[in-house]
Amino acid sequence: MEKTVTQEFETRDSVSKPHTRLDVIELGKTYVTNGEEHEIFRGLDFAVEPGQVVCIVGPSGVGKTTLLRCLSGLLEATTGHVSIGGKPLTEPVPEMAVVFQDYSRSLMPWMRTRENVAFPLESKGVPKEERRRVAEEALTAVGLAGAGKKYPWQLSGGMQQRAAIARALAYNADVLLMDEPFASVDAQTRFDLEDLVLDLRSRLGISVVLVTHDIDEAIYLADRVVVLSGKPASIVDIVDIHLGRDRDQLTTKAQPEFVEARARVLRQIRRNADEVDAS
Amino acid sequence: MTSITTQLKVVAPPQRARLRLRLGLARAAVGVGIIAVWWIAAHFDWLSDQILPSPFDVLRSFVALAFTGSFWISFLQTLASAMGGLLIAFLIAVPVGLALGITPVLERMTRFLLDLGRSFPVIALLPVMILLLGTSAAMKVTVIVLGVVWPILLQTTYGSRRMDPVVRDTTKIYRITLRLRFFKVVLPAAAPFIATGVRVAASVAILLSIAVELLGRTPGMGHSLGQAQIDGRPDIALAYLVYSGLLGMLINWIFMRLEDRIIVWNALGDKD
Amino acid sequence: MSTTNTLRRFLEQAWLPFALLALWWVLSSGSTNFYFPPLSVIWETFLDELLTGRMLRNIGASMRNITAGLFIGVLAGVFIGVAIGRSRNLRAVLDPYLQFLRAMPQVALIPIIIGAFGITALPKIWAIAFACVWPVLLNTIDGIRAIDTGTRDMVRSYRINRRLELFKVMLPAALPQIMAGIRVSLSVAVVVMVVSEIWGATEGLGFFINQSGAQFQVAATWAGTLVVGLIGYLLSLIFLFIEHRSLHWYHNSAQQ
Repeated sequence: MEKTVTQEFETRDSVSKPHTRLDVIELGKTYVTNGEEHEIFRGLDFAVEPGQVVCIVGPSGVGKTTLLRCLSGLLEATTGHVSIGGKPLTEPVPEMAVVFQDYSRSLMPWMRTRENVAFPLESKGVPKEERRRVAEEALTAVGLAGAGKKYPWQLSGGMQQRAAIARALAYNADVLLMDEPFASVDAQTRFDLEDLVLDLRSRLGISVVLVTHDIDEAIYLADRVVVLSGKPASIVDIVDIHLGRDRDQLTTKAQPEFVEARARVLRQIRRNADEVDAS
Repeated sequence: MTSITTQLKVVAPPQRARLRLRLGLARAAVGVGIIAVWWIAAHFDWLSDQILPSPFDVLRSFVALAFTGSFWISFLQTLASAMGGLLIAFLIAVPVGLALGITPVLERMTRFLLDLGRSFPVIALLPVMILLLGTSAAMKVTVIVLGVVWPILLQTTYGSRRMDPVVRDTTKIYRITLRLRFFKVVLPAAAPFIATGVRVAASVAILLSIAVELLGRTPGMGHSLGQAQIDGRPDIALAYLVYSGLLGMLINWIFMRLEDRIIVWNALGDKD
Repeated sequence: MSTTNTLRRFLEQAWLPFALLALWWVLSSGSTNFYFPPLSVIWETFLDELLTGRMLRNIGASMRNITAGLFIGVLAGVFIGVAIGRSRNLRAVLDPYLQFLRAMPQVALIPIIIGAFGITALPKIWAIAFACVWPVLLNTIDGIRAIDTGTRDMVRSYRINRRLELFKVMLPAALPQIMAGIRVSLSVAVVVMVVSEIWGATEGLGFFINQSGAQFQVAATWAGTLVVGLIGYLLSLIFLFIEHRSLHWYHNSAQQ
């Protein structure tokens, strides 16, 4: 898959632009339904440095999506707080964009792909010509040059997810939150999209927080892996990954460091799952 | 066991033409069969002429009616009052429905009332309406509006209320303004539902129009049909019945096309 | 906790209709307008008619017609619908005729049927049944057609017998569609019932309101009309209850 990034996006590198850091401090979430309390997670503490890819990994049902909704400001945490660029987060902010798992529903079927990408800009009040130009550039950046005139449902699943990423880029966010973004596409497309994320990170210097249940995906993408497990969930391990910035689906995954990190994460998840079962 | 219609889609053009011809012939054969049985039943007086006239008498009346001005006047009266009532109901129901749809409190407060209104057989209001407004065209249109406002209202409310959670999150994350959210998200999402409501309402409007004409002695196809039956001309009554069926089909077809155009993204999107 | 919730939800939905009713009662209380008698007078008239038995007899006649008509119509619709739905060729050939019959304003048939067979109960039942057949029939055909290939393959590979296939596979699979058809039939049935009783009858609620109206017994006309509305509402409640019970698997699986 061809990956071209235009001048416009290339000038936005990590040196020239001050980047936003994301801090998660003692975060906890408890739901109350019918008078019963369900504690989803507690005491989560981690940071996302500018330009870093942080993957949150954990078994299904551990509360990853709830966590991501708290990080994005869609959901209020019960305890602790999230701060972005030093300011506490209470609602969605322009520094942050979310790419949802369900791309087919997050793109509006009555808008052409270009209109979808430009929609947040329209809301910001950006003039028509300008938004069109930015939308085309964002689409080019994700390898969808020329697809803007089509409706989202005329695109394949992988292309729709690229369009959703393009929308986040056009929004000019510093932090990209992704909720199981590649869970609904086939394996080959998934590899392409993973490489797209790494590519965008290194060229644009954006930071990415990606939630996944796939340990391989987490390690392949991440500078830092946050492992969630248990009930209520807590962070059982934070693994820094030193695989460098240039990664490759074939060679990176064969490196001893990759294999080691993989074993470590899996062991942590299993051990904590066993403890939950035993209790 | 492949069917004619599925075969139509896969085979080459010359064969397709042959299959289409076969389908047409089969359909015609069914029609001829129905008429033959009907003719035999009428010819041997299984039922009296007053009950079942010969199909050829009905056909003769059917053709003859098309050349009379009074038929076309009653046809237009039925059509105009149905469409007029539909338009008024549309203008009332869509704004109200949208308001209810985006204001959950209002929607909950009026739910019971809407259910009551929807299940109320409006035609039962006819005697009261005749007392109040007489057997006028205004009375006819009023009854039609009262009857067809509900399907449009309910569909509009439903369509604007059920916002996909992912869409809701997306508009929040990108901080989409209220105005844009209404015109570019809520309204397009509700449009297919409104269109369905209007299509359903259109056939109800024709039905009510004919019912009011029949019972309220207001001019229109329903009145002409009832009068023909009372005058002992069941052939003319049946001809009107066929015309009313054709009118119903026509209206349904037109609004179906309209609906298809409005939900083009849905129709195509579903093919995936 | 949950009972107070239910109560609050009920009050939230119910206060408006009751408020409107109270408003009608109060505003009409001093009414001298001939066409808008006070609601209290309508209520008293209703009680009078109920006590003399006239109202009950008419309600009974209407209910008999509509239940018999609906029953016959729904049964015929499902039965013929399954037969046609199973064969794609039959479906293709009959389609234009069925579309025509469905699009026909069913009330137009009433003068013809009653003109031919008289003003007794049976022709009315036939008229209601005939009107109810089409929505059920066409929905059943759609429901049967939409049964998915996986299900059909399962039936064939396990050599499920015809009777089981019909009752345990086809009908349940088509049931959501059939129910949607019955819902449409229900409202058509009420309209046809009322119209047929106004057009030519000696009993029934339609007859009652029409006769009261013709004799300028305005309060009785209003009372009858409100009773018809109430019956329409109650029938749809009963329907919803049945639908909910018989389609719980459908609603639950859709939520997953």
